[in-house]
Amino acid sequence: MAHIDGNIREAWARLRSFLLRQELDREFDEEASSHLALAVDDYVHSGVPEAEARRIARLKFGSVEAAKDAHRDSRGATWLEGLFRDLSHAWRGLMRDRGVTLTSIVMLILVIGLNVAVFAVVDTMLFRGFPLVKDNGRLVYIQERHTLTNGCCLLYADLLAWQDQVSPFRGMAFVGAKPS
Amino acid sequence: MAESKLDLLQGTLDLMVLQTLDVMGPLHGYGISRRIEQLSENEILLNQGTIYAALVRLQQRGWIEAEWGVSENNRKAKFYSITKTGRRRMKEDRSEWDRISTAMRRVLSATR
Repeated sequence: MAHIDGNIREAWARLRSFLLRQELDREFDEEASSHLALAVDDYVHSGVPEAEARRIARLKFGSVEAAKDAHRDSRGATWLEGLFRDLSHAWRGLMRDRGVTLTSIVMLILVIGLNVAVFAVVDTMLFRGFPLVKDNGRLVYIQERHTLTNGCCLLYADLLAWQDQVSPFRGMAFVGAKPS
Repeated sequence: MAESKLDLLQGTLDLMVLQTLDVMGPLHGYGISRRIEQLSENEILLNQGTIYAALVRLQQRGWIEAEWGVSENNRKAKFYSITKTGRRRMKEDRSEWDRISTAMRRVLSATR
């Protein structure tokens, strides 16, 4: 039970660290300079001249940047901070050249829109079938082929003529092209 | 039970920090590392990055808590103190550590 509590507590602490990261960074800076000041005090107290004391203290502390990195790492939110940093960097890059960004967005909209439209038609005709038709398995597609000319497309008049004849088809309707 | 090497090192540092705070009362980061270095007779020289990383960890787990205060010579410093949970955890870790080191000593000193 205590183990689960601990994990939740830690997770919460990490989230908090991420949200307060700038403040925590500043606080670490303060803590580091406080540490150095205390160290210098000690050395001065034991007789070391202040300039030398400062040098020794800084040397002993090691790299402040490295300590800061270790501090950030141990907060446990590095991947989140990294993700956030990458996203805001990318956002700034996009905002810097708005023309390109806008063009890309418009192109994406067009392409995606086109794909959605095409898929809707294909899905209806080939895969799922027309919603209003009772038995799509029995649907057939009739097309005219012109062998002597390069013509195409059925005329509406043809459809009417066929509908008047006796045919094996229950009913007929136009699909796609406009009646001419 | 099987901890990676890094976990083990972190664990021992954590235990030393908890012990220090338990004995000395509220102490700042500089004081903690000085004390550990002194007691270990300078066997353990701490890179400050490690100490402050450990302090963050211990805080996140609720074993220590921190508060800004003023040192004896009027320096502003962040003071850490051990919590009840921390004290309990320290006692558990200490007995675990004692057991392990006793067993190790026995095994390593057996000549036959």
